[in-house]
Order: sequence, then C-alpha cells, then structure tokens
Amino acid sequence: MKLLFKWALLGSLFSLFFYKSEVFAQTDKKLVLFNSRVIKTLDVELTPDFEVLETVKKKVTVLNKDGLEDGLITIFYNDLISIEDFSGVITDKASGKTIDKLKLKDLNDVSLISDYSVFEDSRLKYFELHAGKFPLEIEFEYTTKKRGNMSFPTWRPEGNKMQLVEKAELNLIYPENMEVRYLVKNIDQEAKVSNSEGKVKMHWELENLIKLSDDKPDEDSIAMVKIAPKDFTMEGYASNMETWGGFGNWIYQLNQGKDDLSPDAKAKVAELTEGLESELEKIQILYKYMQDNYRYVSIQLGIGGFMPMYATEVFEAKYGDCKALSMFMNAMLKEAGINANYVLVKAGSDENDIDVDFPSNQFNHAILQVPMEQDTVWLECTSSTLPAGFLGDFTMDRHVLVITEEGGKLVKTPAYQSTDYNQIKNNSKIELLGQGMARIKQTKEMTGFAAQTYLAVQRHFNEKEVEKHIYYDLDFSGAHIEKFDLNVDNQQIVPKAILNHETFLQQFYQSTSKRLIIKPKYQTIKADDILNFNMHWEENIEIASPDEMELESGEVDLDLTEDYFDYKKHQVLEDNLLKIARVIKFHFPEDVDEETITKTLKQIEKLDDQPIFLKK
Amino acid sequence: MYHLLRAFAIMVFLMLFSLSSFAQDYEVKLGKYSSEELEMTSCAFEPEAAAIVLGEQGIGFFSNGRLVTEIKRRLKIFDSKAKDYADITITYYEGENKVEAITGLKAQVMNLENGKEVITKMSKKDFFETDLGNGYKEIRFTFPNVKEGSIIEYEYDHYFENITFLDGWQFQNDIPTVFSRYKIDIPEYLDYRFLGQGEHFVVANQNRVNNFGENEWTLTNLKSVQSEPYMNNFVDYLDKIEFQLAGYKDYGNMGHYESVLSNWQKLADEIFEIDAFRSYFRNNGTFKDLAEVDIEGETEAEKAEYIYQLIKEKYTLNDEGGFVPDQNIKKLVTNKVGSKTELNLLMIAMLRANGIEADPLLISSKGNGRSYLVQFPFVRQFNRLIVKATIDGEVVFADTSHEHVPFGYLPLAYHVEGGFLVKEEGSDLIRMNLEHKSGIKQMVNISLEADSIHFGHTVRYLDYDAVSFLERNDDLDEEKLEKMLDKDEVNVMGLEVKDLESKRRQVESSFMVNMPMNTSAELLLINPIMVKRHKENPFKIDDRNFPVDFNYVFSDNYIANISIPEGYELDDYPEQLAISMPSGLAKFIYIPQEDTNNNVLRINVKFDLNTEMVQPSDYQDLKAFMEYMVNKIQEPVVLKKKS
Repeated sequence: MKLLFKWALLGSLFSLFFYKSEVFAQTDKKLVLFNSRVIKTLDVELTPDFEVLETVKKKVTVLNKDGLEDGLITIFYNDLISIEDFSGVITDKASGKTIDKLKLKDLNDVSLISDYSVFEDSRLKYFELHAGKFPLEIEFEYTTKKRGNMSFPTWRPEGNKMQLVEKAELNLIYPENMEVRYLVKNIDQEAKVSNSEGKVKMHWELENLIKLSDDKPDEDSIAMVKIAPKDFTMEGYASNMETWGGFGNWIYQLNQGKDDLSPDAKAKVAELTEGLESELEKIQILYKYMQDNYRYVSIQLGIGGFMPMYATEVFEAKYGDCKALSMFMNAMLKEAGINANYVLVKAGSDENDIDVDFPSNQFNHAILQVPMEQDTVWLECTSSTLPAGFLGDFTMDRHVLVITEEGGKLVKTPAYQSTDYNQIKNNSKIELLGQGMARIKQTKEMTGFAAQTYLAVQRHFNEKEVEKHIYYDLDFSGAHIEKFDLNVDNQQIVPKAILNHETFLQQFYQSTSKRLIIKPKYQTIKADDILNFNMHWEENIEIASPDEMELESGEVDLDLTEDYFDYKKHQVLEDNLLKIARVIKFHFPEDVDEETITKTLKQIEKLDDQPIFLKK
Repeated sequence: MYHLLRAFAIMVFLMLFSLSSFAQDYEVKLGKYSSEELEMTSCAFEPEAAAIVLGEQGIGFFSNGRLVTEIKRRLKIFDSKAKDYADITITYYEGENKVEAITGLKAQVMNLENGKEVITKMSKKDFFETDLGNGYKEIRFTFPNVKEGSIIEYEYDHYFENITFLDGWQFQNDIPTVFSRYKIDIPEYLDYRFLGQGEHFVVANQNRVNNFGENEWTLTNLKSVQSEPYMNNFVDYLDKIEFQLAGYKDYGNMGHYESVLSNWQKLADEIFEIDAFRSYFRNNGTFKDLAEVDIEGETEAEKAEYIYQLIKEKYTLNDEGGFVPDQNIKKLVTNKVGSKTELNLLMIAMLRANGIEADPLLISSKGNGRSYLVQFPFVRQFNRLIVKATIDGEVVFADTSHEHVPFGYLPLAYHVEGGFLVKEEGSDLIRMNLEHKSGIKQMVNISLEADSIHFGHTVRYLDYDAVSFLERNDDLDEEKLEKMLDKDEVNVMGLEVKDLESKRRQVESSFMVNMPMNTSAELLLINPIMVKRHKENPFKIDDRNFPVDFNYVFSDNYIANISIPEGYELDDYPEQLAISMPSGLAKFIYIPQEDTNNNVLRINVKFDLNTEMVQPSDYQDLKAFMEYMVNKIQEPVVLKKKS
C-alpha cells in the first residue's frame, strides 16, 4: 500500500526517526542475557528566551557484537535546532585504555530528506560503533538548542532489546517565573522538585529496566514523560498551550492571509461552480478539480514546517504539501461561499489516538473539515483518489484539532463502523476445460475500504501495471488474463470499484485416476482489510463442465453465528452446475486486538478450504 | 567507487590549451519542439506508458583538464498518473575538493493552451540543494503547472575533475525513451578504452560515429526497464557505456605517450602500489606474528578451514565497501574490525603464513551492474575481493563475510563466471568453476497410528541448498517448522538438524509430523509431500524482459512411502507425469508405484534444474512447467475404508 499512496506527512513535527545500523552477525549461539548496559540522563531545560536545551548523557557498556548497535549515536538537527556541543570517548574496559576520542567532526552527517520530499532541512549526525574486542565502553554527551518552545522532547527510559538500563534519569528545568506541563505515563513515582538560582528542577529516576522482545511496544504500556509548554513562542508567533484552543489559536495566526486567491483563481472557482445549487455539489466539483490538477509535493519550509504556502502560489504551481493543498481547498470553498476549517491530525492507519487531555503538538498531517447542516464533510486534500467526504483509514476514527477563528477544538473523525463502508462481492463463473484447465469469468465488486487499493491502482498505474496488479491481487496460480476492465466510482461518498475479468487457468483443479478435486479459490483477506472492524464479504461461484458431474463430497448447507462473524455456505449441484454461495459478515468490537482478528480469519479459512470431490 | 579513485594515485597532468570550438549539434534545444513532439499523445512502442523521455543527451568534452558533460533531457507527460516524473533529483559527488560540480541548471515546462505554446521557466529559488553527507550532494526541484500534455525539460553542465574513469552514460529509463544520445570528444592527447554493455548498445556501437576523436552513440525507441522477481538486479543488463583512461601524451615530457593500466599485470601493480593493500603481502612484523598463531589441523584443508573460522569468529565486519583496503594489516589485527576486503586479505596473509598458496581474486558480484567481464583491465567492473587458494592441490574460493556460508562455498551473489586474479606476477582473468551437486533429497514415511497420520521426514540439503537452508533457518525449532508447513493442527516432533560429516556440505533435518485425522470419514486424503522447493509458482505474470536467475543448478529427489493401514484400501492416487522444458533446461518426473505385496504406495519425484539462467524467450515454458510441477506435488492420495 505504501507504494500506492504517497501520504503527506508534516515530517519534522515528530522528531521521531528510526535509524537502524547494519545487523551484525553473531557466530556462536551462546545464551546471552544482555548485549549492553546503559546509564543515561536526559536534561530538558526551558530558557527565559523560550529556547529548549536538550542535554543527553549516555554511558553504554557493550558486551558483545550484537550490542554494538546500542552504541549508535544519533543527533537530529535542522534550521531551528542547533548542536551546541558534543564529546565522546571510547574505552577498552579490559585494559582501561582509551581507544578513541570523539568530536563533532568525527560524526557522519546526512540529510534526512525523504524520497518524496522536494525540500526538507532535517539532518542527522550519527556515529556507528565498530569494534572487535569486548567489553567496550562508549560515553558521550551532547546538547542541542531549539529556538522556540512549541514542542519538547519526550522521555522514554526504556532501552533497546536485550539492553539493561542500569539507570535512566530525567531532569526537567525551567525558570521559576515560567511554567511547563508534563504527562507521566506508566511511571509510579512522584518527581523530586528542587529550586535553585531562580530555576525549578524536577527529577525522575528509574533503575534496572530490561526489554527482551523486539516487538514495537504499545504506546499505552511503556513508561514515558511527555512535556509541553504553557506559554510558548516560535519565530515570533506566541500563544498558550494549556488548552487546545490556545494551540489552535497559534496555528490560526500562522494561517492568516494564506487563503487569499488571485483574480484568475477566483474566476476559475466561479467557472467551476456556475449553475450549481447545493453546497455538496460545489464541494465535490472543486475537490475533484483539485484532485485532477494538483499534485502532492512535500516541501517542509517555514516555522519548522508548520506554515502553509499561500493559496495563490498553489494555484500557480499546481502542487503543494498537505498544509498547502488544504489551505488552497479552503480558499476555493471560501470563494464559493462555503465555510471550511483547517484541521490537524495524527495520521497513520495503525496510530494510537492522541492524548486528549494533554494539549500539545501530537499531529503530523493536515486535512479539511466542512461543517454542513446535516453531515460534516471531511476532505483529505493530498489524495487524488478518495471521494469528497471519505477519509480512508489514514485519518479515520480519531481525535483531530479543528482550527477556528475562536482558536481550536477537538473533534472526532468518522469511524465508518458498518459493513456499508467495507464490502466485497465476487461473482465467478468457471468452466472446466479438462486436464486441470479452466476459464473463469469474474466480477469483483468492492465498496468503501475494500475499494481503496483499486482506486489508487486506477489512478496511478498505466494499463500494463494495472494488469500486473490484478495478477498479484487475484493470486491465481498459472493464470493468463485474457481481458479485464476496471471501473472506479469516487463520486459517491462511499467509493466503489468494479473489476471484470476473464482469465484462463492452467491448473484450476487436480485430477487423480478416479476423481476431480476442486479447491475453490476465494479472495485473501487480512487483518489490515478490516480496519473499520466490519465487512460484508460474498463469494458466489458457479462451476460448469461439459462432462456429467457427480458430487462425491456431498452438498453443504452451513449457517453459523459466532462472536465476531456470521457465516453461511450453500453448495449444491443443479442441472450439472456446481453452485457455491458463501456470505460472511464480520462484526468485531472496536477494542478487538489484531491477534483475535487473525485467529478469526484462520477459522474462516478453514471453513472455506473444504475441497470438493467430483467422481470421474 | 570514489574510494577507489582516491586510492589509485594516478595523476594525469595536462598541458592547458584551449579546445577548438565545439560543434553545436543538439537534438534537444530548450523551447524548440518538433511537431511530432507536440502532437504525440502516447508512446508508439509502449502504448500503456503514461510518460516518455522524448530525448536525452550528454555531450562530453574536455576543458582545462576537466570533463564537462552538457546534459539535456526532455520528457512528456501523457497522463496525470505520471505527474511524479516532474519531480527531479540530480545527485553528484562533490567530495572534499569539489571533484564534481553542477552548473547552469535551467528548467522549464511547456503547455499548449489554445494551440499556443506557453512556457513557464523555473528560477534559482525553485532549485533546492541538499547535502547528503559523505561528499554527496543533491539538487531537487519540481516543475510547476504540470498536466496532461506538458513537456518538461531541463539542462545542466556536470563537471568532473577526475578523468581516469569516466561515468559515461546510461541509456534507458523507467519510462520509454525515444532517443538517448551520448557524445564525447576525446582530444588527441588522451586515449580512452570504451566499455559498453547491453543488447541495444551493441547494435548502436556498430553504427557509431567516430570522427577525429568525436564518438557518438544514439539509441532509439528504448522500452522502459523495471525490476522483475527472480533476478539479482536488472542493473546488470542495462545499456550503458563507461570509459577508462588507457594512456595520454605528456606535454611536459616532449609529448611522450604514457600508458595507463594497459594490461592486467599493470593493473595489479597499481593495486600493489597502495600501501594498505601491500601491507597484507609483506614479510612484516604482523606477518611473522601471524605465522606464530597456533593453527589446528594436519592437512592444508583443515588448516585453511581453521583460519577461515578463526577470522569469522574473532573479527567484526564494518560496512566499508569496495575492494581496496582502508587500513593496513597491523591496524586490522590490533582492532579486529575490518571491511569484507580486509578480512579476506587477512585470510590470504594467514594462509600464506602457513605455507598455503593464496591470492586475491577481484569479481563483479551480481547486482554490481555487469552481466559479464570485459577482457580489458577495466578496474571499475570489479566490486569485491575474495580469496583464491590452492589447497591440497585443489582450487578453493572463499569469502569470510557471510555468517552461514561454510568454508569452500561462496555467497550466492558471488556466483559469477570469473574474476581477476591479482598476483605479484602473472595476474590475469581466470574462470571460476564452482563445482557442486546441490539439491534436496527427501524421504517421507507415512503411516497411520490410532487417530493420526504420521509423516516421518528425513530431508537432506546438499551443497548450496545446505548453505541456503542454514541461512534461512538459523534458529529453526518445532514451532517455527509447524508454521512453515502452513497446515492447520499439525504437530512437529523430534526435530533434529545435523551437519553430516562428509566432504560435501550436507545438512540433514529429520522430524516427525503428526496430523490428526477424522476416523469416521469414509475417505482419507493424504498429501504426501510437505517440504518442497516451491510452495507455489513464483511466476505469476505473463511478460518477462530479463533472464530468470536461479543462482545455481540442482537436482531434487523426493520419495514418499505410504503404508496402507489395516481397515483401509488404496482407492485413488495421482497419475504419473513426466515433463521437461525445451532443450532439457529443467525436468520433472512424478512416478507412483503400488507395491501390493507390502501394501505400500511409493511416490518418486525428481526435479532437475540444469541451467542457472533461463532466458526471457523460455519464460513462458518455464511458467507452464512450474505450474504443472507445483500442482502435481500437491495432489493427494485417497484411502478408503474397507467395507
């Protein structure tokens, strides 16, 4: 899916990034408890000038080859974050000898520009530890300074896999006459507070932490301290973060004047909306105009990547990032007399929801909300495929910050929790041709989430590539697609895709000396396909043969109702036609875990995978 | 590669004098469009393409001792799907001393509006430069106002300080290309060897213009190129040309001709000139220390294997690439961290210290951009250094960089036809014959006990199949095996994986699979073969442009013995099948045999692959062959309850 959608991320908002160094080979399989031990301190200090100083001190004792990765040093910086100082030393623990002293210039320096970005100033300095003798100690310390205190680093004391964290400390320091806010998660400890030289210091300290598995931990279960400002300022724009309204107000200031349109652009809006009565029609036509004529380009410029381009510039260039395209769409709607709101969201199909009680920057993407008398219309402005009003799994079902004149407020995006938003209907007519061969004529009708992939395929691929995609999607073995046509409809709120194809199958059934064995091929459904927890999935198959068929394995009439699904299968032989009608309705509760879904799908697979025996 | 350039201390001093003016014979001229270009709405030779390169050209010439390449490129967007082609990235290597530079970047987009050509030019503020680190830089820009029918075009000059090796030109793109032209004007005082590759290039080379040092190649109507499954890298098959300096006239010395790397020994000599490299071959203190290291083993083979294991266990790899060492042997032995090349050089030194003949061999591994080696000492064709040793009179190739590759075997990406043997004397290209008899030999005994079916497996993996088995199944246990078998409710017991002591590499995996059965059912279905090389046909689509690369040939044999239990009779089983691909590239035989005396059904399956590479012309046959084979192996045996 990643290839199909080029989603727009605000990039630098999250200072999270993952850098994985080469995995080193471990030659012998000894039982190793830890690869490394670490003692680390994070100091976060707010200065009276609204700067944020971040000092990281780490002492890592590397015990074996696999622990070398834990000695990795990474320092992220950009035009707002500067590296103030750095020093490091590598010591051979056995002899106590200094192997190497590190200065800033010894670090590698790379751009973190992403493949799809045209401009981004994020950079990384890093150092990879290479050594052959253990134990080894790498001790380093650095300080970075960020202009503006809109966001703060988050403290995550947990170490890497198979690393013993002997001690992890956090010091949060701020002037007595200022304030910061913080949110403690999964730490059963009060901060120690002390005052000196006009500064308040809060201190947390954890010992002997260990993580054995490599799985990505659930955000809700790991220890962390999130920090956010009260009063904040960045590049001359100031506000107060105690409420979502205060944060919204800051964004509102940044967006001021960005939605003016040139006379040419206004004329275009007038031309497009001429004669249209309803607001929804106007939204749809303007949205489609944008989808067809503007493309997503990531350009991270201005106020750490927060300030959108001017709508006029977007009109001229015919491209923009998520902020620019949302702003431009907003401007066009305004011109057409429709009020819309710019919205910040934490996007990603498997992201957790934001901490709603802790106003802070937790977002990485921008979309648009159009309040209507009846249903609110949501617009994902970087998608060239979704219908107006359908958000897709990238931003659905989560709290978002709607920016308004009054500031901002949290609102939830639609959850789409009904089978209306996720349907698959496959009708297949199969003709047996002898010697295992068959020809299949199939109509696949996909609605809502199920149609998302084909919407993108139709939009981005040429005919050859579409055919290639169909080969892989059908996953028939030994197939030759003789003809196909793909129709997508994104003019309704719920998108639809219909694929018709005729395909020759070299080996559809197996044949032994006495019988034919048919294993009906259904679509493959994965947990990712049921992100809205609901799905209606129908398979209707008709198999015809020039020879008389005799059903050895008997007719089937199944009707099951389980906790998470209803299953019906009806299989008969009528007028020498073998007919299979199979319907599933999934209805998972919202708090279901992925493992349950996967298990349920396995259960379905078993019900489906019953071979059919025909006597020869 | 730049590593290499720095390492080779080949300096070419050029007398500065002005060049005669260069003929202005462009085919791409910004803002001037032919009527074909304006009217074109699709690609004639690849109708589904959403965009096309209308033309691209590189005009190279020498000026002030530098190579200047004037590059122009023009694309047309047919469909809004292809708007991403309007995002341009130009990467170049600046190094510490500005060894490359980009100047004079111009870009513009043309749209026809009411029959009028409307051109939007881009300016400096639209070009973003990024420092990628390690000396690399990138210029990115994105064309505005791009829609269906837009023609986008840009030009720039690329300057190269280093002229010993020239990058040359690559002719294809991931969209079709109407024409791609490369021209280079080589002055009389410089002498270059050309190295071309690719089937279209070979044709174009026959028609190339060569006029007083002006060389020009034009390739036309090139289809788009994309990666395909079962190939190591399509880059190895692209049409391209590169250059290496063969000699020059030294005007500082009466115009005397100095040849550069004119034969294999000279190239070897240059490599030995590198201090770090030479240190591995000298009778220095480290060498004497190495000679004193206790090496276990009586025969040369035992000693060599001991050294091989010692290096793999005691030394750590870093991620330095290329075949030129960075550090000398002393530093490596002290720090115990080195590149692939350095560890292999160390192995050579240790073998030599123990009286075993060993030399470095340079190869071009798969994916390095070369499908064959050229017979000229063209140094840039190589990317890896491995060990060639003569052990107990037999030639052995070795590489210490891959964890699971045992002594005497090479990683699969190193299975190439030959390499360059670097010696103090008598260096030359040699052929590499990797003798092996790879394959999977499997015996399954199937019987019924109480309410389950038992499958007793003995699977032997030979030679490269043993290597790939170890690579994939480093931490195989019963639970993982259960998942791999991809069958519900099976129970794997008694898994044992052992290395068989033998001259050839053999790994034997034996285990028992228990599968519950429904004792009340009239019919009982058994799929006798669970472990197989291909679970499904890997070739799904119909087209193929590049060869299928299987890495090595093999011969598989699966035997299943099904004992028919009391109370059941053999009702039905798959029919015999023997198929082969044209000219015997692959063979598959499936023979069921009923032994009524012992109440046993024996199924004998053989699968031989006799070629590493299957050419695209044979792809359809291969796809059909695999289809029959994969399906046949899945067919069940049917037992019926006796009435």
